[in-house]
Amino acid sequence: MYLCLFLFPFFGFLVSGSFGRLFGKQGAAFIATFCVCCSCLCSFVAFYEVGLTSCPVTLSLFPWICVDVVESFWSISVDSLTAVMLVVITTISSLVHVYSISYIKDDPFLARFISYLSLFTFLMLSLVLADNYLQLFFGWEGVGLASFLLISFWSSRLQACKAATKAIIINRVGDVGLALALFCFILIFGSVEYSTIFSCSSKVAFCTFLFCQFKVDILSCIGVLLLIGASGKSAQIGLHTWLPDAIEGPTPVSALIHAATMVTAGVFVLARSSPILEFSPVVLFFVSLVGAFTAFFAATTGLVQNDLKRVIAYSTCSQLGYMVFASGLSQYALGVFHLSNHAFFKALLFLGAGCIIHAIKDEQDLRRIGGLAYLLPFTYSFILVGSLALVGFPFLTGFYSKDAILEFSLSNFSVTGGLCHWFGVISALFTSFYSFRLLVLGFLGYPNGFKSFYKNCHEAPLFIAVSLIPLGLGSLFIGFFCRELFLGAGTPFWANSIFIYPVRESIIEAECAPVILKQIPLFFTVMGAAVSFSFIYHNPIITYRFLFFNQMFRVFYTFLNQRWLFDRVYNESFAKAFLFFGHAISFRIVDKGALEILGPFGIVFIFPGLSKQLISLQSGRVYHNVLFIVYGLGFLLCSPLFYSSNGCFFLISVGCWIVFRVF
Amino acid sequence: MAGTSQQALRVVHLYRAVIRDLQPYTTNRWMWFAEKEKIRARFEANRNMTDPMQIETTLRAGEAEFQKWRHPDPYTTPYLFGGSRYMRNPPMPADGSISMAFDFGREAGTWDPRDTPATGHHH
Repeated sequence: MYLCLFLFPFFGFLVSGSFGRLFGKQGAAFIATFCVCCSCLCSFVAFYEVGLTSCPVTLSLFPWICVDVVESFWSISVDSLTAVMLVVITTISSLVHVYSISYIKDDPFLARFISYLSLFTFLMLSLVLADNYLQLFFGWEGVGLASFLLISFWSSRLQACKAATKAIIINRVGDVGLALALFCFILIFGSVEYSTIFSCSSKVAFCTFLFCQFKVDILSCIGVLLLIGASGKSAQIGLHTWLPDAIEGPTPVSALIHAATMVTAGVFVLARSSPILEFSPVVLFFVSLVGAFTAFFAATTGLVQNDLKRVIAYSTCSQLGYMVFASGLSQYALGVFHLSNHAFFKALLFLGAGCIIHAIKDEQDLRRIGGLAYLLPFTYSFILVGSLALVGFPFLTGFYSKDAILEFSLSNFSVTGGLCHWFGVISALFTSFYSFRLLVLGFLGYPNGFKSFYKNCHEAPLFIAVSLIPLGLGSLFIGFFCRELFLGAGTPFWANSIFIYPVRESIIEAECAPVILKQIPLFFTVMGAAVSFSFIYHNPIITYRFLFFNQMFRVFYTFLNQRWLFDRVYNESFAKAFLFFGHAISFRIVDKGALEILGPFGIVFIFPGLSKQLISLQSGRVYHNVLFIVYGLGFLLCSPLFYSSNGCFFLISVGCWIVFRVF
Repeated sequence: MAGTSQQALRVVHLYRAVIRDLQPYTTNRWMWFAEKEKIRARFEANRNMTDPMQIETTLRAGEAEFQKWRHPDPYTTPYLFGGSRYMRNPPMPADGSISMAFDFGREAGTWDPRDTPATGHHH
C-alpha cells in the first residue's frame, strides 16, 4: 500500500505526460486524477495506521549511493509527521487535479499540465517519505523543478518565464544552504540517515568544528544552514521575492504549490530536524525572528496589493512566517498543525479566486471587480469561509492553530516570545484588514467591472464546485477535530517524530495564561475587520483623499505596494551584476569567444584558413622561391640555436615572415 | 483657443491620461465620475488662454503635476501588453510565417570566422 501511495502519482505523470495524445487530454487528465485520488485514499489509511494506532513504517527499497561510510537507501519511512504531510499533500493535490480538469479544459496542453501536477505530487511525496537527508534533497530539488515547469506553463508569456526563472534561482540560493548542511552531516556524523543523525545529535551538542576556516558550534552551524534552506522554500524574508511573482502560473498551481505543499517543505524540514535545532538556542532565536518578521512584512505588503491572487500570495507568506516562528519557539507540533489547517483554507481561497477569475474573463484586479456576491453566491460562500478561517474567526479551523501560536508565544516568557507575539498580533490585524478588503472589493462593494463581465458571469462548473466543498468543510471543522490530537497535553500522536527539549515545553503555561490576554488576537482581528469595512465599504472617499492629497501617505503606500522595494534592491545589487557576468563574460568572452575559437566550430574555419595562407606562399615568383631556399638553409645551419633559451632566433624568424607578407 | 495644434494634442493626451490614471485611485465608479468633473473643471478654467508661451508653461506644469501624482500600481487590461492574459497561448499565424533562429547566440561584436571583408558581417 505504501508503495502504491508513493508510485501512483508517478504513474499518472508517465501516462499523462507520455500518452496524453493517445488518451486525449481529458482522458489523460482523468487517469492522472484517478491515480492521485487512489494515493489520497492510501494516505488516509496510512494516517490511521501510523498516526492513530502508533505503528510507524519503514520500507527500505534499494541502495542508492554507497560511498565509503556514507550509505543512502531509497526508502519509504512513515511516522506521525510524515502521515500528516501525506494527508495534506495528497488531499490538496487530488482536489487541485479535479479542479484543473475543468479550469484548464480549454487549454490545448491540459495533459502536460496534469502531468506536471502529478510529477510535483510524486516529488513532494518522495521528500516527505524520505528517511535520509539525501532522498529529502532529491525531492527538495525536484519540487523546485516542478514549480519552475508549472509557473512557466504558459511559456509564451514573458512574465511567466521570468517568474519561473526567479523562483528556481531563489530556491537554488536556499538549496545551497541545505546542500552545505548535507555535507556537514556527512562530515560530522558520517551518515545522512535521520536515525543516525538524530540519535547522535545530543552527543555533539555544544561541540565545535571548522567551517570555512571558522570555529563554529556544530549544531548551530547546521541549524543556520537548514534555516537558509527552509527560508528559500518557505519564502521567508530575504528569499521571499519569488512567491508573489509565482502567481503567473495558473491558479491551480498557486493553490497546490504556493499555498499548501511546496512552501510548507521548509516548515517540514524544520520540524523534521527538531532533534538538531533543540540543542541550539541561537538558531531557534534566529528562526523565531525570521518567522516573526516575515509574518509582519508580508502582512503589511498584502494591505495595499491590488491583484487578487497577489493578496492571497502575501497572505501565504505571512502565515508561513507564523509556522516558522512557532517552530522557533520549539512548538513544532503547532507549526505543523497550522501548516495542515492553512493548506485547506488557503487552497480554498486560491481555488475560489480562480472561480472569480474564470467567471469574469480573467480579470484579476480588485479595482475592476465588485458586486459579485449576488452573481456568484456559491463562490462567495466558500471564499467567506476561507477568509474567516484565515483571520482566526472563533471556532473555525484557523482559530485553533493561529491563536494557539500567539498564546504559546505569549507563554514563552522570553524576549523572543514577546517579540513574536506582538509581531504576530499586528500581523493578525493586517491579515483581517486585507482579507475583508478582498471580500468588500470583490463581492460586497460597488460593481466596478465592465458590463460584459456581469452579463456573462456564471458560477463554477461541476468539477470546480466539487473540489471546493471538501476544502470548505476542512476549513470549518478540521481544526476543531484535530486540535486535541495534535496539541493536547500528553498526546501520544507525535511519538518520536518531533523532539522538544523538556525545558522548552510550555503547554501548561499556555493553557493557564490569563483569558484576557488570549483575547488580544481576537480583538485585533475584529478591529482590522472594522477598519476595513469602514474605510473600504462605507467611506472609500477617505482612503482616496489620503492617497491623492497626502504626499507622506502616498510614499508609504508606494513603499508597501512595491513590496518594500526588495525587488528593486536585489535587481540593482545582485541581478544586474550577475546578468552582466553571465552575458558579457560567461557568454560572449568564454562561451561564444574562447570556446568557439578553440572548439570544433573554430577548428572547422581556422584550419582551412591557415591552409589557404600556406597555399598562398607558392606564388610562382622566382625571388620568393630563392628567399625560401635561403630561409631553409639558414634554418638548418642555425637549428642548434633552437635548443638554447635564446629567443632571438625565433624573433628573427617571425621578422622574416612579416617582411615576406608585407612585400 | 490660440495655441498650436501640437499643444492642443498634448492637452488632449494629458487630459485622457489623467482621467485614466484617476481610476486606480478611486474604488468606485461614482467617485471616479465626481473626480473626473473636478479635473475637467480645472482644464476648462484654462480653456480661453491665447498666449502660446503661457499655454506651454501651464501645460508643462500640468504634465509635471501628473508625473508627480501618477499611481504606483496602474491598472492594465488583462489581454493588453502587461496584462495577466497577454500572450497566453497566442494563436498560430494564419499564413504559417514562423521564423526559426538557426544561428542562436550570434550577436554583434562576437567573433564569427565566417565574417570576411568580402562577405561582410555575417549576423
